[in-house]
Amino acid sequence: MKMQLTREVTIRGIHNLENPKLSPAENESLYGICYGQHGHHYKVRVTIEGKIDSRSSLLMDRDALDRILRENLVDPLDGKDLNRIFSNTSGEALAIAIYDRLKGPLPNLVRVGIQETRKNYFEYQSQS
Amino acid sequence: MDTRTAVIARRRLFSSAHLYDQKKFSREENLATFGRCHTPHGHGHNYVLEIFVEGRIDERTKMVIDLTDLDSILLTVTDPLDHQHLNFDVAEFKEKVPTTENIALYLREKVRIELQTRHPSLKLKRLRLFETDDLWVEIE
Repeated sequence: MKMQLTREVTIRGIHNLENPKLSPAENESLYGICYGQHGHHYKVRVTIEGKIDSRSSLLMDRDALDRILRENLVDPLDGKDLNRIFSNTSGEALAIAIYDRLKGPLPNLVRVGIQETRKNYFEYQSQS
Repeated sequence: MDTRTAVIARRRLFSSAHLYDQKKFSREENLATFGRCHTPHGHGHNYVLEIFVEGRIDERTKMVIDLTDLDSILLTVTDPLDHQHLNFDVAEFKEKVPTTENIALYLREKVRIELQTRHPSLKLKRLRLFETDDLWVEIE
């Protein structure tokens, strides 16, 4: 049996898909409408896995989890141009980049899911 | 005969009150461990229980389980918690702290018992308990 706890946070970010090594015409042809700058309300689902702490009956203290997410995820990214922070902002690349950011402060992290729109969902699952 | 299995998932909502309090802790320890969840009267949630049941597809009905049966199981396990104060009204949580983790473990055991009795060939594959839209526990 394994137990997981998931917290979802919202990040309002703007981005576009772009490879800086390519010309505008090549980017346009490669990424289509995603080359134009636009924004999303990303729903980021952060999942940790582990054992219930016998003292608190919690997998992890909610306030501690929320503080880590606020400091490492929401405050640095919310309302920002994500292309200024990450080298690529495809949903897949963001899921991995956010996982890498959070793995240090959240050693029990096993999955980052990103609902980019109602139609698009991306996920990175710990592969260690 | 097709021996492959499929999964069906169904949800049920229930509303309960709870608070986090470890009787053996001092007030200071309780506040340090549980923060704003440690209050005299508690607070409420609209919980959502979601269960994923796995099994072979029945030859005659072409279903894993009749949704009415699944709803009946969900009702049986959530009814004792619905519109109750978990700490004061539910025996299981008089001592055990009704954290989302512990409620999920409790419900998992109850669902397994119901499935074992009514549909022994089916397996509870996964259980999710949503405390809010943005916080949930999953057991697999």
